[in-house]
Amino acid sequence: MLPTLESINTIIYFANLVLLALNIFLLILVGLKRSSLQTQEQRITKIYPNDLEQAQKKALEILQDATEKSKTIINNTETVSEETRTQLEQHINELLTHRAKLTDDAFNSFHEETSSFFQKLQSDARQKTEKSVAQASSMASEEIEAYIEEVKKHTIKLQQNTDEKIAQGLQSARDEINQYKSDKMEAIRQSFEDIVYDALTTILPEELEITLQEKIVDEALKKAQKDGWDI
Amino acid sequence: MIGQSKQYSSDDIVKALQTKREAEQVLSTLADISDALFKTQNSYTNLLENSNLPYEISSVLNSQLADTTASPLELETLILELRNKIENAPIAQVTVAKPPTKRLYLTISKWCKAHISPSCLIQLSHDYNILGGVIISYKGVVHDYSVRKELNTLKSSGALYNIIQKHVQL
Repeated sequence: MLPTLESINTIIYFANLVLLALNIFLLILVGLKRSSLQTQEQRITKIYPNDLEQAQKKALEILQDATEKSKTIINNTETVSEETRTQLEQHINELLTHRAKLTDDAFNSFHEETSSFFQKLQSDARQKTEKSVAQASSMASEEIEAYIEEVKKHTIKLQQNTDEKIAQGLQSARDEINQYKSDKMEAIRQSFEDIVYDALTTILPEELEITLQEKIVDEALKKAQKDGWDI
Repeated sequence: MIGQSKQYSSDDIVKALQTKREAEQVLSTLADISDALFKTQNSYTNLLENSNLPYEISSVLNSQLADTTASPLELETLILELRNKIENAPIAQVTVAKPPTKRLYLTISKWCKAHISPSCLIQLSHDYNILGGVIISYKGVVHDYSVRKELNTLKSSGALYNIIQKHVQL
């Protein structure tokens, strides 16, 4: 995982704080040392007034030496700090570069991966789509065929029903026509019979000769005898 | 019975009768003859010959009473006997379409005597409405053999049309 710029700045900031604290600590140490030395000098001066000058000299030498050393240390510290800063900056730059590189790489990789992923996704999607389309097409085709078959069956059945209805209607019409004709014929027949009957009942009594009447009576009596006239 | 040599029979006389009217005429004539026998000296035969009875009846009576010397009383007895038989004789009401001829009379009477009773008398009438044939009513039962009934039967059964169709090109 790469450090962020913010974390790097924080590190640099804390490093500077450490260096500053170190300088302050050294200055305090120098101050304390000087104070201690002054106290010791005063005491020694009191005790050893003669040697004081020597001591002061010595102390001054020591102080100078210490100052020099301190300066050296500070310089060294500063140098170190500078080096550290430089190194840090260098590291930061490297890190940034690396990060940029990584970012670029990541981006590229991501881009590639994404592209690849998208291509794959697209391909899969295309395949799935094609498959779905093919499947749907197949299903649709089957459904359409089934539907067509159903429609055919329904149409045939409908046609059959229609034919049956038409046949029934025709038969009914024929029956009605036949019934009408039969009724009409019956009425004509009845009328004709009535006319003939009326004609016969009017004409026969006048027109039948007596000999024919006698013959009819003879026939009637024969019929009565044949019917089993039995008193 | 008329005298010892009686040969006639009232049954034979009744059998010779054809119609009720004729029977009544015979009874009336015989009553007249009986009266005449009381009043005149004419013989029975002469009186019978001079009567208006139909020849068939007078001949029967003649043949029945021949060779007899019927007294008015005996003849009266015969009349009573004959009346009794005529009144009890079965009578058939016969209707024909037209006024019957002698031949028709005889035919019908003969048929009734053969099929109803030998002593059956007919009461003949005519009715144009029956068109033809004969209707015989006897003891309340009507036997209709008329042309009208036949025609009605044919008409109601529809056979009339078929008969017409058979004989006429419709």
